Amino acid sequence: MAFLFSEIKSIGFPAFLKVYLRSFFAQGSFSGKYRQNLGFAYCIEPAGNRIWEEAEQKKNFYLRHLEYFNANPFMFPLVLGAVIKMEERFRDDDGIREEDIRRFKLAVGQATGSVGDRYFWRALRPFAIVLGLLSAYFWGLWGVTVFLAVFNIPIMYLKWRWLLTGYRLGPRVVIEIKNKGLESTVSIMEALGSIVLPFLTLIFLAHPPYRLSWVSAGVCLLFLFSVFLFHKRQPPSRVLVASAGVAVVLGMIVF
Amino acid sequence: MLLFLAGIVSMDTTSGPQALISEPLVSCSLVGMLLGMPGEGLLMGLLFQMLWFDYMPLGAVRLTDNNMASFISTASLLMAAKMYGFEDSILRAAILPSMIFGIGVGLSGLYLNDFIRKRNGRRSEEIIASVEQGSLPAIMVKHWAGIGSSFLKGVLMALVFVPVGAYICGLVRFFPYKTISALGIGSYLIWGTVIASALHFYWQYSRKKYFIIGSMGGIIWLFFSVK
Repeated sequence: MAFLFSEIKSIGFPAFLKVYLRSFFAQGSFSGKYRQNLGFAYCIEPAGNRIWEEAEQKKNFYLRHLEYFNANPFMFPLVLGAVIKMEERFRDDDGIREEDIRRFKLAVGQATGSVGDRYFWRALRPFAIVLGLLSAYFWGLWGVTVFLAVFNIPIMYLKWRWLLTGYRLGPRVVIEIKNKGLESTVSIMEALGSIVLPFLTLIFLAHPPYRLSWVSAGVCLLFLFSVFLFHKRQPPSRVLVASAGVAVVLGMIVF
Repeated sequence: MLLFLAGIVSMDTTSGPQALISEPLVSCSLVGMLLGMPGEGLLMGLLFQMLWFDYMPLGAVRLTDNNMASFISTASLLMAAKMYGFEDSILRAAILPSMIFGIGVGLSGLYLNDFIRKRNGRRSEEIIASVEQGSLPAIMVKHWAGIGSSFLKGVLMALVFVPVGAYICGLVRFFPYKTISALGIGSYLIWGTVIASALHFYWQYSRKKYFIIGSMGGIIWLFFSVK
């Protein structure tokens, strides 16, 4: 807490809070050519207004941040915090050049892209889904709340923490990207997801009408057919269409 | 309200805040609650969520708009059920047609996304040009125009596709009894596919021993629960 008020004093808490809140909409104007350039400029704008005062300086600031930029949206604040610090150091002529900011954004943005996709899309989201499904099985619609809470509470915390860490570390923030604590949490989430999902599948199949032998047999048959198609790298939409056809044929045979 | 929700789903998918309100488990349940059929909404949400387990709405990847597809499929199905007063058997039979309809919706969402991204690119060029000329830009306005486009895309898709989907689902009631029964059974069997999709995800990315542990737990559970 002491850090919070002492080190961000130059930018000010309200500007920092604005940057944090804006980071939730960083991908709002995503384009194929520039990716999240406008999003980055939008997010960093409140801090930039505090750092630069003259029109010419502001113009250069905007031009720097309207260049191509691509990062993982959940790790955006990490880059934002570090770039705010670098902008301050650039203004104070403290060993940072304009070119350093440009290079840093490109390199770190890409790094957060690959790491963030694994953390959030491959680990946290599936884990939240599995817990949501499990909760939905036992408590119905409460599963939705569980799913949202499991995903969003860590995101909100990490985004704030990363914004501050980025600002504290500046260009040294790269050490935070491969955070060991987070890596082990991700491994635990992957393991728990892989344990809970087969468990859930089996208890679901023990539920009526799947307890009926022929329905269970049909589900198993379709399961194997679908696994075969997924293994052949067919997209889920194509697998669904094929499986729906097989399911209806099976339904006709059984009927 | 449904149109507003459609806008939120479309916006949340990639534009922001990516709080996963757009995921089928949430959006379909909300549709169910909105149309007075929470159980059915949740069921559709579970089906789609497991089917698109591997769906990662990454900004840089061109993907079919599966979140909007799920939302519109569910809205169409439940709307048809309300409009035509579906019995349970017909509602169950209409699940598969509504899911297949959703695939077409997802594809059209992909093309609309492409259009919006091109428009966003032009907006970026305009703003860069205006900064170079020395006028300080209204970045917030331009950025929110992009977010607003995503919202409008959702509203537009719901406005066009939900009535069409409801009409298609409504046709099921004219099918012969045998076809309705086969579709109904098919809607039970399709769980095999959605389970395969979810399990396949973990099978690819995780260690196999965890699968065995989970399966053993499930078998023990079954042993004690099935009499």
